Order: sequence, then structure tokens, then C-alpha cells
Amino acid sequence: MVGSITRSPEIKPVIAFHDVSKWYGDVIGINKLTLDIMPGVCGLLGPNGAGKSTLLQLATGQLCPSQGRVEVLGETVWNNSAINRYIGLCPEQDALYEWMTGREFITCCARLAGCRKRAADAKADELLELVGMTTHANRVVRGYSKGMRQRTKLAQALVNDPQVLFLDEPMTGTDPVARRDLLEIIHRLALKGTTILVSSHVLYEVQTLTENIVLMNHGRLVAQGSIRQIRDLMDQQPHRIVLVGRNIRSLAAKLLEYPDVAGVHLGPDGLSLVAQTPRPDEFYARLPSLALSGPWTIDEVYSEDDNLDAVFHYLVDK
Amino acid sequence: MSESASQNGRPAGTSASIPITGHSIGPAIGALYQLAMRQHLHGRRWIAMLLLALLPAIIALITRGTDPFASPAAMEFGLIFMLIPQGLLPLLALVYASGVMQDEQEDQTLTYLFIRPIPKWLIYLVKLAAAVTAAEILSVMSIALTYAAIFHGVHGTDGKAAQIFASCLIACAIHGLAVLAYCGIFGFMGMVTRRVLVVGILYIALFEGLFANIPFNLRIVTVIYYARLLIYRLLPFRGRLGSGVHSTAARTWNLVIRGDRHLKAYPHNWLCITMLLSTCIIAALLAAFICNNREFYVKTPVKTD
Repeated sequence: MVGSITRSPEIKPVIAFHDVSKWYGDVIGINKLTLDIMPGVCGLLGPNGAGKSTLLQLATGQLCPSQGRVEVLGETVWNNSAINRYIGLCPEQDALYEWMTGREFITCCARLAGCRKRAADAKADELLELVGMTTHANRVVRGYSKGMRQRTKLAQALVNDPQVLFLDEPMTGTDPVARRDLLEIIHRLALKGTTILVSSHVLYEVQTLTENIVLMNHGRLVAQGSIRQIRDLMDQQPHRIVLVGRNIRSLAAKLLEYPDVAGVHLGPDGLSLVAQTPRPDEFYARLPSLALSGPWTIDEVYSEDDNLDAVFHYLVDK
Repeated sequence: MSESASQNGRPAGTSASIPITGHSIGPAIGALYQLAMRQHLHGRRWIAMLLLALLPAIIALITRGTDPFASPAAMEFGLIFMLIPQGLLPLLALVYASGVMQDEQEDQTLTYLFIRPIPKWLIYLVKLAAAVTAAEILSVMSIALTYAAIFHGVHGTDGKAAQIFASCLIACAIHGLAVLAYCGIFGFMGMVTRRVLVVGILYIALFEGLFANIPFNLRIVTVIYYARLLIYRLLPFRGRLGSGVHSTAARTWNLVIRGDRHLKAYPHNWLCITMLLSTCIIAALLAAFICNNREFYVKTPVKTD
């Protein structure tokens, strides 16, 4: 683990993984994961196959840990259906009961959650309104677009007013309008005090939701904390600075003469290079004179580490 | 219990202490049963099963249409006490009970059940009950329509309406018990193997088809054996076309009735009923236990290394 969040000792975690591993035969899904998720919104990031869905399925009691213990709201979740009163899950898979209308589906989920018929009908109306599906509620689900399915899946996750909400790639495949609406809904739920763990492999989606992130790769926890904290951790590692210009090959040879340059990679276009340096201040200070000292030009300079994407790729590639 | 939980108004308690209160598990179970019934009674599978259930009645009508001298008693025996219990009922049970959990797993909708406050074992039992109901509806419909197709308007049966109706009720009851047992068995199979249709058809062909028809003790592990004993004893006027040792039912089913016309050497009726019921109950409880403790993957895991 690269880093962990600092927090007040009085606040107890809502979701806790204690040395959890999960194998699928000889395939490892989660590898010795110890993780505490505190109240609020937390982003779960990682590339496809990182173990995000496995983590969510473990946290919602759908999978049994091969080793270790998973707790939500202080309760073990495996084979504890009672905990489902307090949690909601928006699964990654698009499957719904295709032959139902959207309204029937939400009503059915509300009734499965324990609502009586009249209460379930009222809940369905309320949630369809919340996710902006009222006008399509009486259409059969089979004809729904990806965005409509995501909205409907989110609505079913809210039928029991969950205290903890798990969202597995909720924005995948949605159009910009649906994405904006879903983000807005998640924001509103967070303001109401719902603890939300949202997984994604698209970083800016999560960045707009929360500062708190958990980074996973190959079933392992790569980093946990605020984006700022993780950026601080990065400062201890070589920064990647991109230089774009002409005669870039000779510039690369020159850069390698400096002791603070850990490595240089030429871009595939031959017009750029990526320099790695653990002391970016010295590197940037040298650039003006360097630009004038040889047969090269430097037209553009930027850091690959300026966005969360870079943080993520940096950490998972490490 | 965690502090955050208490702040959110959860009932106090320690591990596994969150109660399932009676007032909300009931509607959930009702909703689950209703959902499962709707799944069974719609779509192409329902139409296919409906046509299958109508087949004996259609055969009866065709037989009557093509052979004016066809014996109603022979048709009754051949269709209602041979074709239906040996072919139709196991197939109905196989189709409905084997997919109790597998269908939803394949459709990836199982998640929507498992994230509700209903224990997995109860989900299995409620869904099995719905599968049994669907199979029983089709079974009763098939038997009643076949009786109607055989006897309706047949000369000389006017005064026997009550007797035919009683036979129909007894056939429905015995076949109903067989359906229960089959559903229990195939539901269990669906819980232990992914290739339940193949295994189920092999079971039907080998056990209920082959072993049940040979006079060895092996047939005591078949469902149809107990159903046949009940049929022979409760409907002798229908199953036995001849008299004494020439009973068609006894000869066809390899029941030794020479000197034992009431099959006293065979399991008694109460034991037959107990065997059929207990097969269903034991298989259902075993499958519910397995369901409660196994995982259901709704998404293929991605290899990470």
C-alpha cells in the first residue's frame, strides 16, 4: 500500500475489510486487502479486472471471502441477509427483468425489500421521479437504453432508503445528460448522509464526486486517501514531464547528462519526450537556459502528473 | 454495533443481531413468490410447456377421431397412467424446478434477490414452491383435459360421470405427489450441477424409464414406482383391464400379483405417500442448505495476473 487516509480515531468505519482474500479457483480476485471506508462518499478506482466488482460483491454479501472478514455497519455480511435492510447495490451488469415495465420492476424490488403493496407503489413513484424515469416508467424494460437502465438500477438500489450505497460503475455507457443527472443524484444522497462507495475506471467521474479515493489493481490496494494526500505521496517519486519540440532526440541525450534526470522516453511521434525526475523544481529551473543552449526547440512543456489520471496510472503501473 | 450505524437509527445489537421483523418479511416472501410465478407463467417456455401439457389430450382426440372403436379405458391407461407420469410430469418438473436459481443466475438478475433482506435458503424454498405450483397447474390441467378428451360424449359413459370424475381427482392427487417429488429432486440437481438438463434427462430415462420398469429392487429409488402402486390400488377398475393376473397395469408395470392381488408384499399406500412427500422435503431442505452456503457468480471473474 502506498498510502492511507488519516482520520479521527472516534469515527468508526462503515465498511471494513480485514485481511480479505478472494480466489476464484486459481484466479485471485482480492489479495490480502485491509481497508476501512469511513462515512461519506468514497471512490473505488482501478482498471478493468482490478477487483472492484469483487470487492463490492464481498461487501454486499454476495461472495464469501476465502480468507479474512468483511463488515458493513459493524456486521459480518456473508449470510447475513438482515444487513440488506441497510444497504443498497447498483450492480454493474445491465440485466433487469426484461419483461417488466420500469415501474413494475421498481415496485417489485420495493416489495422484495419488505414494503407492502401501497407503500411499494408510492416508493416506486418517488424513485422514478428522483432518477428522471417517470415518463418511461410504463415502458417495458427490454426497450430501455443504457442510460435508462442505469437510472432504473440506481432507483432499485434506493427502495429501502439505504444507509450504505454501493454503486458499481454507475456511469458506464451513459450519455452526458444521464451522467450529469446521476452525479447530481449521488451528490444529493451524499448530502442526506448516505455512505456511498462508487466504483469506476473513469477517473474524472469519481473526481467530481469525492476527494476520497481507494485505488486498486490486481486485487490489491494500491493507495487510499484524498487525492491531495496521494499527490503528496507522488512527490516522493519521479515526476513525468513532457517536452514537445523539434530535434527532440538530441535534447533527450542532453537531458540524460543531468544527475536529477532519472530517465527519458521518446514519444512515438518523434516530436516529444517524457523525462522522469525526482526533483521537478530543479528540472523546471533549468529549462529556460536549456531551451537556448542547443540545436533543439522546446515548444511545449507540461507535466503528466497534473490530473488524477496521471496519479492513477502512476500508482497502478508502479 | 458501529457508531455510524447507531447514528442512523439501526436497532442496537451485536454481530448478526439485526432482526428480520415479521411485518416485513411476509410481503417480501409474497412478492418473491409472485415474481417467480410471473416468470414461470409467461414467455416462450410457458407456451412450450402448455403445448406439452396439451399433448395427451390432443392424442386422445386424434385417436378418437381416427378410430371410432378405440377403448376409452385403454386410452385412459395409456395416456393418463403411462404417458403423463412417465413423460410429461418429469419433464415439467425438470424444466421448472431445475432452473429455480440457475435461470436467474444466467439472466444475471439473481443479484436483485440476494440484496434483499430474505435469507438465501428461503429464496430457494419460495422459488421452489412457485416452480411446484406451475408444474402442478399444468399437470392438473393436462389430466383434466385428457379425461375430458377421452370420455366426453362417449356412448355408455353417461351414468359414470361421478366415477370418471373421482378417477380424475385421484389421478390428479397421485400425479401431484409425483410432481412434488420430481420438483424436489430436480431442484436439488439444479443446486449441485450446472448441467442439470442433461443430468435430469439421463435420470428420467435411466431411473424413471428403465429401472422403474424392471422388477428389481432398484426401482424402489424411483418416484414412478410409488405412484404406480398407488394407482394400482386406488384405481383397480381403471388400471386393470383384465381380471386377476391379466391386469394390464400389473403386467405393464411388472407388478407380481399372482396370489397377491392387493400387492400386500409391496410398500403400503401410506409408505408410498410418505416416500413421495419425504423425497420432496428432504431434497428441498438439502438444496436450501446448499443454496444458503454457496456462492452464485453472476459475472465471470476477470483474470488479474
